[in-house]
Amino acid sequence: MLSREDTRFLPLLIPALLFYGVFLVYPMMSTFFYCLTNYSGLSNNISFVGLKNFATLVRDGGFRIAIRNTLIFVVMDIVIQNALGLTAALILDMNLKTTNMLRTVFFVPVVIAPIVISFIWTYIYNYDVGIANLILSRVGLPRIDFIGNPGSAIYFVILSGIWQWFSYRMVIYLAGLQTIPRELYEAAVTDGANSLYRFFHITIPMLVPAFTINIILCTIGALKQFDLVFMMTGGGPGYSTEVMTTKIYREAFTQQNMGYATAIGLFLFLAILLVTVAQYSLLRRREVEA
Amino acid sequence: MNARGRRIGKAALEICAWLVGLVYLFPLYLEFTIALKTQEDFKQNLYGLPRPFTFSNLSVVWKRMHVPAVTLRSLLIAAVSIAGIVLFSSLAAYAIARRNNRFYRAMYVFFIAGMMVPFQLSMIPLYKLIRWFGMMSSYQGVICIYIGSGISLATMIFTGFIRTIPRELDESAMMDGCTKLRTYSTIILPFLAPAVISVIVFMGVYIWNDLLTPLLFLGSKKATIITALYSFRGATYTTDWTMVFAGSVLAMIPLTTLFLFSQRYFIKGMMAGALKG
Amino acid sequence: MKRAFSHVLILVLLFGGMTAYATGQKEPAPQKSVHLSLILITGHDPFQAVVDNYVKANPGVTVDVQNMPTEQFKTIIKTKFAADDAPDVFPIFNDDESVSYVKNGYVADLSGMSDVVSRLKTGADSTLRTDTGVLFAFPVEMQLIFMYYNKDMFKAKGVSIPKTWDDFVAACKTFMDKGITPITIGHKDTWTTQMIPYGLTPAKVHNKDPKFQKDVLKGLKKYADNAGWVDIMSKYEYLLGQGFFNKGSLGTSFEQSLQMFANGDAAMTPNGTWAMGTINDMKPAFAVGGFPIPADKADAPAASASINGGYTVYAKSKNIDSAKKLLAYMVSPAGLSIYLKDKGPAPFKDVNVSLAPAINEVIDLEKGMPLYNFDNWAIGVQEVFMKSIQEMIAGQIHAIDVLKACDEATKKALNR
Repeated sequence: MLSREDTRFLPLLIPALLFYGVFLVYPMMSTFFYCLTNYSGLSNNISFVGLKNFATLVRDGGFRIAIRNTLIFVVMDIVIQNALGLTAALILDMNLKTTNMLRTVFFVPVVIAPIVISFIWTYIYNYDVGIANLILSRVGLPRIDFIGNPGSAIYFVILSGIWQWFSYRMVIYLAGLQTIPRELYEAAVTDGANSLYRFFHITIPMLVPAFTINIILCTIGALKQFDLVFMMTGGGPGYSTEVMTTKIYREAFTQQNMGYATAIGLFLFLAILLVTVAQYSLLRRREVEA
Repeated sequence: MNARGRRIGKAALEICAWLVGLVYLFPLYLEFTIALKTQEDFKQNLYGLPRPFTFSNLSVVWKRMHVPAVTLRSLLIAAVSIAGIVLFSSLAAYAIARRNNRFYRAMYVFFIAGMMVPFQLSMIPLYKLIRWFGMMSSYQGVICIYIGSGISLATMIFTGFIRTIPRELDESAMMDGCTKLRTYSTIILPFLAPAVISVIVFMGVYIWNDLLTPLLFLGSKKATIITALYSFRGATYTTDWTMVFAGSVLAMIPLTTLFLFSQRYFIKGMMAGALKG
Repeated sequence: MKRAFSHVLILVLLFGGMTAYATGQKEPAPQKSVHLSLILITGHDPFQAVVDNYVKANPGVTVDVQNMPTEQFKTIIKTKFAADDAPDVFPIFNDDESVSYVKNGYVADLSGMSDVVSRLKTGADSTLRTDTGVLFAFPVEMQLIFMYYNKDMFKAKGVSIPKTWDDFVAACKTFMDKGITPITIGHKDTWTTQMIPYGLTPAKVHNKDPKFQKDVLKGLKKYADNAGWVDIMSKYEYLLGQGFFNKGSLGTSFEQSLQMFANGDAAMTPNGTWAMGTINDMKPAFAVGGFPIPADKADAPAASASINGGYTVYAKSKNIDSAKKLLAYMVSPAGLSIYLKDKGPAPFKDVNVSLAPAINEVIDLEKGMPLYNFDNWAIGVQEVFMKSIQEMIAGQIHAIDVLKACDEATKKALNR
C-alpha cells in the first residue's frame, strides 16, 4: 500500500505520533469508553448501560439549551471576529506611523488570564457601578442588566470573548494581506481599476485562504470555550448561558454523571469533526492559486 | 485623490484607530490602575487613577508569589514544551505535506482531530497515565502533556506552510544525495521561521495561562505563574483583587515582550504558505 | 532509511536529555521525615500559620500545603480519588457527595480519635456522621446565616430590628420609601440564592419536622408537599415582586453586593459568618450588626447554624497516623483560635474565639433558640435548587416550580 517514497518519510512522523498518541489520543479514547457506562466518576461500581446515555441526550432540555448557546457563540464569533479582524488588518496594513504599536495594542488582551478578564468584564457589566451603565445613565438611557438578564446574558458574554480574541483574526489577515504581490495591484491600476474594484477583485479573492483558516480556528475556539463562560456566569442565570463545555463539566463533576458527560463530549467531538471537515472542503475549493 | 489628501486621510485614519484602540484598551486600563490601588481606593474609586499610586502592591506580590522563581518555572516548561512541539510537528508536517496519498491524508486528519476535545474529559485517564509513568509532580509530566496537546494545531499550521515551499528545492537536494532529514534541516527549516514564530506565540499564550494542568500534575512546590496567581487569597473568603491584578500585570510582561519581539517575523511572512496551501 | 531512523532517534534522545536536565532541578527528597500533604481551600489560609507551628514543634514531619479555589478543589479531589492519589488531609463538606466518598472508601473514620471527639460540642458532629455512625470529618467552624444590617442607617431611619416577618417586610418598605435599597444580594453567584431560604428553614421546616430532610433522602417526602418550604419560596418571590432587592442582582457578584453594602448603598444583606471578614476588609464607615431572619409570628423561632464540613484524612494515606495527628492539631484550641479569629463560633467546647460585634449580636439574639443545620441535598440537587431560584428571580418560573424541580432531581438522584 505504501510506496517506497512513503516509507522514507515515515520515520519523520514517529516522534509526533508518539507524544500525541500516548498523551492525547489514549486518554481521549479511554474516556470515550465511559459513555457506554453509568460511571459516576467516583465509585468503581461501573456497569454497562449501552446507548442509554445517548437516549437521555435526546430528551435532555438542558442539552438543547447548551447546543443553542454554543451555536450562537459560533455564529457571533465567526461573523463579528472576522469583520473586526479584517477591518483592523486592512487599516493596520497601511503604512501608518505607529503601526507596530497599534498592532500590539490590539493584541495584548490575548495574553491576559481568564480570571482577570471575567472579573473586569463583570465589573464593566455591573448594573449599579459598571462603567457601561454609568455611561448609559449619563446620556439619559435606561440601565441594562447585561449578564443578569437571561435573555441577553449570552450575547454579552460572547462580546467579552470577542474583545479578547479578535486580534488573532487580525494577525492572520495581516499575514494574508502581506502575501498579495504588489504587481497585481500595480497592474490593476494601469488598467484603470479604482480602489473599490481592486479591493473586491484582488484583495478579497487572495484572502480566501486566510479566511478559511480563521473560520476553522474560530469555530473550534468557540466550540471549546469554557473558562470565560464558567467564570463570568457559571452557565447562569439559571441555565441561560450554558454551553456544551460547561454542561459537560457540570454533568461530570457536580451531577456525578461521568458516563453521561462523556456521551455529550463524544457528541461534541463528532460535531466539531464534521463541521471542520465540511468547512475545510467547502472553503478550499474557492481558494485562488497564486 | 491627490497625495496631500491621501496623507491627511491616512493621518485621520491613524487617529481614529488610536481612539478605538484606547476605548478597546479600557479594560486593560482598569487592570493596571486596580493593580496599583490600595484596597480602600479600589472600593471607593473604581475607575479613576490610583490615589495614591501604590507601587508597593507589585513588590508585595513579587515576594508572596515568588515571581522570579515562578516565572522561571513557567518559562522553562513553556520553552521545552514548545521546542518539542515545533520540532516534532514540523517533522510530521514535512512528511504529510510532501506525500499526498490516502495514508498521509488520513494522518493529517488524525492529527487535527486532537484539537476538538475539551480537556476536562480526558483528565482522569491522563492522571492515571502520568502516575503510571511515575511522572507526577515532575516537569516531564506536564511537558509531555503540553506536547501531546500542542501537536494538532502546530501540525496544521506547518503542513499548510510547507506546501508552499516549491518541491523543486527538495528534489534538487535529493539529487545531491541528502537524506530526508538533511533536506529538512537545510531547506525546509529556514523557510519555516515565520510559521515557527506564530506557533511559539500561540502555544506560549496557551501554556502560560493554563491553570488546570499544573494544578493537577505539578503539585504545590512547583507553582507556575498562573497557579500562584489563583491561589492568591487572603484570610477571608474573597480575593484581594488589587493583589491579583498586580500579579497578573507581572505575569503579562513576558508574553507581551515576546509578541513585541516577534512582530517582525510574525506578521510579514507568517502564513504566507499556509494561505496558499 | 536506516540513517533517517538514527537521526530521529538522536532527536528524541536530545529531547530526553533536555527534559532530564530540566528535571535535574528537583530538590533531593529528605530522608527520614514523614511527608504529609494537605490541601487548603479559599478562605482557609490562616491554617498555613497553624501548619507552620505544627512543623516547628514536630521536626520529623514535613507538610506540603497546596492552596486552591474551592471550585477547582472539588474537581481535583475527584480526579485524585479516581487515581488513588489523594492528599493526606483535605477539606470535605457535609453533602451527599462526601457521603459517597466515604462509601467508596476514600475517607477515614475518625470516630476512633476519642480525645478529639470528646471535645466536640453536642450536636456538632451530627452532620458529619453517616447513617452507620462513621465520623468522616472534624468541623473547623460553626457557620450562622443571618441578615447583616447597617446599624447607623437603621437608627437614622427609625427602624428597629424586626422580630417577625411582617416587621421585616415593613422595614423593607420603609427603606424603599426613603429611596434606599433595602436588600442587596449577589445573585450571579448561585450559592447566594440559598441565604434567605436557609435563614427560614429552621423555623418553618426543621423545627416542625426534624426528620423531614432524612425522609426526603429516603424518598418518602417531597419539597413541594411541605407547607414550610412552599411558604419560604413564596415569601422569597414576594420580596422579589416588591422590588426589595438591588436591581440587576442576577448580574451582581457576591463581592460586588458586599461592596454595595459596605459603601452604605443598601440597608441589609443576607449572608453567613464567612462574609464578616470580607465586610471588615472593605472598611465600612458604619457599625455593622446582624439579626436572624425572622419567620412568622406563629412560628416558634429557630436559628440557622450549621457545620458545613471540615477536614478529614485520606483512608488510603500511607501515613495515616501522622495525618490524624496533624488534623488533631488543626482543630486543637491552639489551631482553631488562629483560624477562627473574626470568623464564627467554634464547634469545640474548649476553644474561645474573639468574634466581630455583628456575630456576637446574632448569637445574643438567638440565645435559647434550637439550632438547625442548612439543608442536606441528594447528589446534584443543590445545583438544581440554586439555578431554579435564579430562574425564579428572572421571572421565568414560580416559587412552586423551584420545589418541583428539586423533587424531580432528588428522584433522579435516588434512582441511581
